Amino acid sequence: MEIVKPSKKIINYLDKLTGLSDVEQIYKFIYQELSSFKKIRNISLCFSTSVNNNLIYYKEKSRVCAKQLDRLWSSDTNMRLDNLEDSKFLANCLKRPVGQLLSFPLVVNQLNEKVSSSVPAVIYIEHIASKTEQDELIKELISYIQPVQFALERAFLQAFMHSASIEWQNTFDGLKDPICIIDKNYNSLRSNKSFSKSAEKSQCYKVFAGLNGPCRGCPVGEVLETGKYQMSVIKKGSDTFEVHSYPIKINNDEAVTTIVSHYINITKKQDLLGKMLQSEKLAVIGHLAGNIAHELNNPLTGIKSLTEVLSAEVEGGSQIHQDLNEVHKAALRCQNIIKSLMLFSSENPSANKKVLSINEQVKISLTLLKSAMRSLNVKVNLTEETANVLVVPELFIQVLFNLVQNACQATPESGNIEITTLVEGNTVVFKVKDSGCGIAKEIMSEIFNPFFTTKQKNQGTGLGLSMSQGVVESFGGKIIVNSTEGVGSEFIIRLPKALGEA
Amino acid sequence: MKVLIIDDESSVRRALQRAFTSRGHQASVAIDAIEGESLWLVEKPEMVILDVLMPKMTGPQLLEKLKDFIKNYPVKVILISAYSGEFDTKQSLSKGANLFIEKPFENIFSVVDKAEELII
Repeated sequence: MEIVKPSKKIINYLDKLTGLSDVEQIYKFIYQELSSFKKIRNISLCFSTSVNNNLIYYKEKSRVCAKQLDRLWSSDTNMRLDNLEDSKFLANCLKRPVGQLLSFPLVVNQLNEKVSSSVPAVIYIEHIASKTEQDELIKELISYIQPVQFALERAFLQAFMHSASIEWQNTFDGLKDPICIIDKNYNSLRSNKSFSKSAEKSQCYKVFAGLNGPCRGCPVGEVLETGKYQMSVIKKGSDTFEVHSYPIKINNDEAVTTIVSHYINITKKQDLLGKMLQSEKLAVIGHLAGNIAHELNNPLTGIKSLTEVLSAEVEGGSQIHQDLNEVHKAALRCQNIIKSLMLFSSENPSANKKVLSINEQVKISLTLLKSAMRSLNVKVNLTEETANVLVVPELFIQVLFNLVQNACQATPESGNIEITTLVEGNTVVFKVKDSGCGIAKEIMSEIFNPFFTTKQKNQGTGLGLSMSQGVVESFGGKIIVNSTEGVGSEFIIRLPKALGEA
Repeated sequence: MKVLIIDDESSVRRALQRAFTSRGHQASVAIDAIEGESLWLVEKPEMVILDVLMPKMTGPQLLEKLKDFIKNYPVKVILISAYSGEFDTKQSLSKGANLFIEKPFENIFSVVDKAEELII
């Protein structure tokens, strides 16, 4: 084998070629280098990036052009001289006649399996060398053409990587959860659209939460210290996020250089959990209240009974007798409160409905709300007609309690609350009207939804109205609300009048 | 009549004792079922007012314990309780009691009335 010592010219050529990774650049370069050869008239490069993407690079009037082709070139992998098929093909592409032609197919390794052709690239050289000069020409050209194969491979890889990179970025941006990659100084190196819509490159805490230092509860500090995955919870405005931070180390035993943080919005989940806990708490308190009520009955019996004994022993009308009377009345009030409490906190409401007087039910509910009503002007108008309803007492009292309590909570000090019961034909009506803040039109349709509340987190579960409506509807009635923002609200319960005696 | 009052609430014991005494009856008190048992066996009262829920031993448990003793002499038992739901009337009567009264009493003297009615 003849060992050809590479000339300085070739070495320079290869050097420059290595630095090129764009197909157009490569074409321009080889055109520049090879057109200086004697007898070469034109150089064209055909290159295929995928099944439907076949290009030809050529020079026309000293301008570099590129064109998409709908025809593919020959799949012959051998170098050819003056091949008719090639000439026709090239003439067709360039729209001009083609003379003597050298065809150099290049087998370029493509990563993209979609390219079906076995000859992804061809260099066509138009020349005017004579038959005797051709061999010499080809010999020289080979050393220049063969390396182009590798340059094209590199170009292809670059394009592939670029499109892969775009594909990755699109996937990254497509993720619903915010993700941010930071360095150990919290600088955001890369993030997806969910993290930040702008391309602002700053510290993660600045971009995400608008803060000047790490978020409260940020797990990154620990990740840097321990070199291990950490998770913690942070707040951003009114939203709560679980932040999962993963360390990236160049070598396993070296310090953490980069951290990937994945944010999961758990606001809704936490909210629901909070409400469930609250509901649970209320259930426990209800149970406790029931127990306490029972416990109170014993000493209360003693107080009431002894008062009765003493009353019988002193002179009627005497001061002592009157005092004892007052003690007895106070004891009776205690008894009422305990009865109401026990009814209200009943864990096993009777499945049976009973015919009850709505006025009595209202009185029991109001007994439990005395302190809430203290600072308000409360007017109670109970109908004198017989107004009986068929309801489960424990549940109905809770409904009345709920509506009146809502009214009290919505009304400022010295505000007005009006409670009315009346009979309209075959319907018993209960109304509670307040002079409170009213309900905004936008949320009117939501107020009966479970868990909907306008109260602070620990002040209510948002279940009151939803349950009340359910209960009233189960008794064949309905709850109606009229409200004007800033003026007040009126809640109305309409129930069918019950026949029979309470 | 001779009455024995067994209840762990002191104000209730005193109220019942005073009420019975003011009507001319003889009334002793016991602070729990254990003391109650001893007094019952010794004094053999005609009427026993027995609280249901007491620590260490409940009223019904005491009744069960003295089942045979009670059968063998004329005695009436009234069970009293603040816990109405958990102990219904039928149950109390089947355990050897003659009457069940809920606390708080409508009127303390009504208890004395009911006891007197039972003895007649």
